[in-house]
Amino acid sequence: MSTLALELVLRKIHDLPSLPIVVMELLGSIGKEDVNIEELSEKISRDQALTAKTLRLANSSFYGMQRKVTTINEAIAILGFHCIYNLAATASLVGSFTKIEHSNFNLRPFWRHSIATAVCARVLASQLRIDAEHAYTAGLLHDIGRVVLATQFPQDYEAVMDFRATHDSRLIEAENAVLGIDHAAVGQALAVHWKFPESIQQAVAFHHSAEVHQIGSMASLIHIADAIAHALDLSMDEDDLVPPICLGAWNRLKLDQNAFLQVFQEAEQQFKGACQVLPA
Amino acid sequence: MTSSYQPLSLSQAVPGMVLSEDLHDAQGNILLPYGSTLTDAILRSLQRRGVKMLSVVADASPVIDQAAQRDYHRARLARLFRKCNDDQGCRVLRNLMTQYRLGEKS
Repeated sequence: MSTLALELVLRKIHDLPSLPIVVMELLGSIGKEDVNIEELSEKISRDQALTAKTLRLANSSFYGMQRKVTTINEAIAILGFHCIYNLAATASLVGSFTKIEHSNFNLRPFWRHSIATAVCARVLASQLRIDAEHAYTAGLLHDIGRVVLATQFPQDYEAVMDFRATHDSRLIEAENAVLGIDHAAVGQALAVHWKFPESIQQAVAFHHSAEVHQIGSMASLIHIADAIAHALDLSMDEDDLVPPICLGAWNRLKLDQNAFLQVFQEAEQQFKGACQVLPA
Repeated sequence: MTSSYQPLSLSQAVPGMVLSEDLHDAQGNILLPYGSTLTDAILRSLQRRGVKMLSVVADASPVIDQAAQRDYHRARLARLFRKCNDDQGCRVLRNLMTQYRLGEKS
């Protein structure tokens, strides 16, 4: 089996189309005080398809609106800027990777898992008083390296999926066995190329690391959110598998049993609403 | 607020249950839209197409067999945590999840 050279992967990454502007700006606005909300909502509004998807999400039963919102500005006024921005970013990201030509790679469980991890990260973050919307974005992007591998190297990635099914291994083990590189390393390269904030780069690069607790609070949080998303069976993938968990990262959360049970419940509830972004 | 939904294996689904979300095949094509009511014919067709899991509206369905539901969760937990024996952190999560799904320690 031939392995992929990191150099080749990097060249492919540089050939990828840049992220939709709205996502770039969301990432750029993380942790900043002086965000120009008017300008950004104007940018969302100019994209008809994106506006429609965002409003559909905002009007989903999850947010419990009294009446239908019809404009991005109205949605921001009611639900808040960061909430609407996350909805737009999710819709936009999912929209840019929906179909992979000549491949059996199924994006649907992938996005279900990404959204599940994002929701778990947001719920955990709010328990820990970490920026919840920032955690959502990190969770949404944590496996983005898999999309790069599946879209840019479809045949190689099918061999990975076959290996995983045959050996019932973890996906990351199958990637390393077949390709000699894994989605965390590829995701890290992409995160650097797309200039993700440092904390999100770390979460993408180290969410499978056994020593993730030494990296940082966001990487640790995403590591746990990923495991909980698998354990809640939200991807609806028959062969889903809960990964090993870094105890240091787990203990770092300092949550008791009841807090975890509450996290599971809230995450399951929020997931249902968040998933309406997926194409029918 | 959304009505509660219930993931099921296909073998547990019975006619009269209502899908709580769109049902897709392995390629991501839509098989049945959410809100569809399951019938015998539909269930047989889903079986032929290799569908293994689906999600139904809990309170719009005929009473879901509590024992069957617990069996389903028990089997899924065993499947999801099948590689967890050597990992302490994973066992901690398994205990919590067992408590959450079944109200008992694993």
